[in-house]
Amino acid sequence: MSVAPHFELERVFAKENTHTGASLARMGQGLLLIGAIFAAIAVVMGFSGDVERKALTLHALQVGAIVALSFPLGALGFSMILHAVNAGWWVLLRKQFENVFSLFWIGCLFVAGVFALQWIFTSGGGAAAAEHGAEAAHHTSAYLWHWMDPTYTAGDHLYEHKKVFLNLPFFVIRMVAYFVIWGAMVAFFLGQARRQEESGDPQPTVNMGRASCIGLVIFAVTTAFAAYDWMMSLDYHWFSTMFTVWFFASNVVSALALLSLIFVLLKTFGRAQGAITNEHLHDLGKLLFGFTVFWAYISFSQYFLIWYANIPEETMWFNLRRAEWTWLSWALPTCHFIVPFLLLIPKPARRSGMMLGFVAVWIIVVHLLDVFWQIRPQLRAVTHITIVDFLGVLGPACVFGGALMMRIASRPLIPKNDPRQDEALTHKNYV
Amino acid sequence: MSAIHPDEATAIGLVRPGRVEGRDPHTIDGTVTSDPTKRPPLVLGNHTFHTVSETICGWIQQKTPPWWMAAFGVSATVAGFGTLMILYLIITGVGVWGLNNPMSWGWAIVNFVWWVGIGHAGTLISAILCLFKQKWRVSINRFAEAMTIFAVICAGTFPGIHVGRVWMAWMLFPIPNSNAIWPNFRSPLLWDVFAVGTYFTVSLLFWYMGMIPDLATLRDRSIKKMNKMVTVGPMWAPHPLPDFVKRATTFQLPMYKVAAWAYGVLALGWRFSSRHWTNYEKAYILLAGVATPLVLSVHSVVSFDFAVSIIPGWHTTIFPPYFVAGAIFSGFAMVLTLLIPARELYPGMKDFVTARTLENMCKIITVTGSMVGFAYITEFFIAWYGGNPYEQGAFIQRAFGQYWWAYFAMMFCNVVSPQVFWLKWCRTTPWFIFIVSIVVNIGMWFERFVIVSSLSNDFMPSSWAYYSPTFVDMMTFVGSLGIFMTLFLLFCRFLPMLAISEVKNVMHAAHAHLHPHDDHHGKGGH
Repeated sequence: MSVAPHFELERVFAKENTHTGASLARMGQGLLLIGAIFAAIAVVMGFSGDVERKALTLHALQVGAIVALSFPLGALGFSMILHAVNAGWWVLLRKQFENVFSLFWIGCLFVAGVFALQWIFTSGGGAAAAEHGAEAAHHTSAYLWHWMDPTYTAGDHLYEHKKVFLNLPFFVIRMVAYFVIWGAMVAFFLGQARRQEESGDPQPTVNMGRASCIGLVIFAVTTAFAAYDWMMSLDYHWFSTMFTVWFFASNVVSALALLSLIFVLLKTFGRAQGAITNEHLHDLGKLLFGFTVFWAYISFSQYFLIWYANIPEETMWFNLRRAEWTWLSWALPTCHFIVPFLLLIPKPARRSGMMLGFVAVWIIVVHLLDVFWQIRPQLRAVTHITIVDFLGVLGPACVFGGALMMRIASRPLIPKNDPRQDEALTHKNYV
Repeated sequence: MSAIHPDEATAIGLVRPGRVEGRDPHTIDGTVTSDPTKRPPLVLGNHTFHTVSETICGWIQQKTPPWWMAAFGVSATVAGFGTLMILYLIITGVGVWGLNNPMSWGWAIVNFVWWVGIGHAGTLISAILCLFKQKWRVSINRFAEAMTIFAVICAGTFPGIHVGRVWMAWMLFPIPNSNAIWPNFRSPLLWDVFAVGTYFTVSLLFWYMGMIPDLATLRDRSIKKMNKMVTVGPMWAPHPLPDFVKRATTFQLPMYKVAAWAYGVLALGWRFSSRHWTNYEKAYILLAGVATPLVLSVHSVVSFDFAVSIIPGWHTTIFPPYFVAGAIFSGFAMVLTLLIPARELYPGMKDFVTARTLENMCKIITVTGSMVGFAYITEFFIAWYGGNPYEQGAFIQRAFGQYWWAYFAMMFCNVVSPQVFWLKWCRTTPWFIFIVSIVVNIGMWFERFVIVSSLSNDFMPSSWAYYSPTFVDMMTFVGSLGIFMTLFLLFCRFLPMLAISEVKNVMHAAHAHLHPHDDHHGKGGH
């Protein structure tokens, strides 16, 4: 393998080019601390508040947890796709994909934490709600997953039907299973990548490619059921076959936005020079554009088919969001599709760090609103954004962001010894 | 030579020693390598730019091969028979089909969706794979685009003749008329007209525009032989013929003049100037961008035909992406069905359509087949999870009802059969791929039949009825295959089957000046 002569590999792989300064780690620690404090305050506010406040805390934290989970899941899924198709252009970007998906456990832990918190909130609260009578329990209960509330599901024919799937032990088993399966996948990819960096052996590339093919099948099934469990079953009466595709689209678009942002920032601060070029940004921009459209296609199809058929058992989910979160329901198609679509159409926008970085931040924020719109309206009692929402959503998101910054700071920014390194170094777009 | 022009020996040399795979130059040409340090060559056989033109244009300019005449005769006969069936339908009415009261959509819609689905591969290969910089596509894109266009033509036939009064078919389009009668804009069937119409137009433009430089090549080659006469005679008769028969039946025709004129008109004055190329490449990438969302939109709109309704088993939100995946699945299968025989029949085609090309297509078939399988399972799970007894009933009827055989054919052909391509032998053995590709095509036809046949058990059990096709139904479908093959064979005979200019672009020789000391093969940009 020979490299085009104008690439000075020593300079690309020099320590000052492949490491961030220590300040990033400190900033990461700060952000993590802020996130932890936010989440802690939200929990404390839940404990100190009434049933409504408790439910609010759970909903807000669940939004944050899913946001913190969506980036790693998107990065894992997308990097498996790139491994499976033997992509060459991205191999120097791979390390950052790995950094993002290695932190999948933060989101998982937060989901488990929300589940535990609900259990704490309701272990005495179930009886308290019963005192208020069934009427009160229907309006506000400290439950996120209403199907776990025996008062709520009493006499519900639909719940009886779904009990085989939606029951506590099976739910916990599934939760553990997702964690173990994703953990195994992440450990495999990190292990193979480390092996290649240490030995320079091309075999891990082949292994990762092969494992990705099977991994994608497992990934599709696990993320589908995780989406049903952690998002769709919050309103256990509602169902949509598209939901799992939406979850995939939303994860990938958010992960691509985050990764674009990471690369733009690295470039801005003069790191990974020669390894991450405008050509890579251009491609990321194109993918971001493509998946933004894909997200819109999936979201629109789901909405449109339900709107057109107008069957109450399906429309109720959208009606709730349209009636009580009208502004958000309009903001999503506008900000999650039209704005980034228009901004990313010109080629210079996709190649300029400034514009791509702006769109990436924009999409990350809108993605947060999207997840919020999916989960939070289930709490019908509070239809405006409160300080708890702010803390509960940003808490897990900041913990994830902080941990990611610490991880990026603690490792080389680009992988060494990848057999397709030259392709990535000489990557060009032409059009 | 092999350092500049990758050939078979180089290709086999790519495979690391000790690996049996990829060693046999007859079945596997050596491009199927999993060595991540190497990219296999895209063009084999020590080709120069000249020999590429010679090979691809040779398929058009050589004498008509006897197998082509035979195949064309059969296809044209079948197409004629199908046309007769359509004529009979028009004269008599749609009652000649097996439609009955709950099952008011039968084979016509099944065939329509099947053909439209097949018409997805071409534009996917030329547009989406172009945007993803998949250079292996250059050897199959022209071929697949042609297939797309002919498949969409076959698809369009069915709704056209299904309207009953064919002379009123123009009312499908929102044309102002004195009666102020308009089509229902809220009906997905009207959106189909727009979606398929747009898709056909853009695909045709894309196909034609991509062909202009190659048409100019053919024009120039014909001009060179302008004054040569071609003897046309009864080639089916025993030769040598008696003199008086020969005199009476053979003609000297200025075919090259005709060809030069026809290709010349179609080439639109292409002169291979750099200004032409700049415009060409810009237009190409723009059309690729425009065509990409169309690949998704057409079959999404087709899926709306079913999914916007409130018929159990039809109304499910995953339909749009699931139909798109199924369409790509069947389209790739059809490309393989046509490509594998062509690869054997046309000399030198294997240099361009390598084992790697076939392998990649098999992989796409497995991916899309698994997506379709995932959608089947999701549908089934949510039908149960949703708790709607009608929805559940529809799915139980599908799997265990009177059409259980169609359901199991669909499951086997679409979900199980493409999984064989996980094995390397299966996806590198052309005859085996050919069989699987036909199985997949059958399976995708059954998928549409399974969906449509949900109608036969509607909300009122008293009106349930079993649907069986009539002879006319079946022969119209077979006839559409004939129309498709006829058009396709004409394409193979008269137009460049491979994109000559694009193939030259991915040859190593095109980039030799860029990497003088480089030992990669088949790498480099446009």
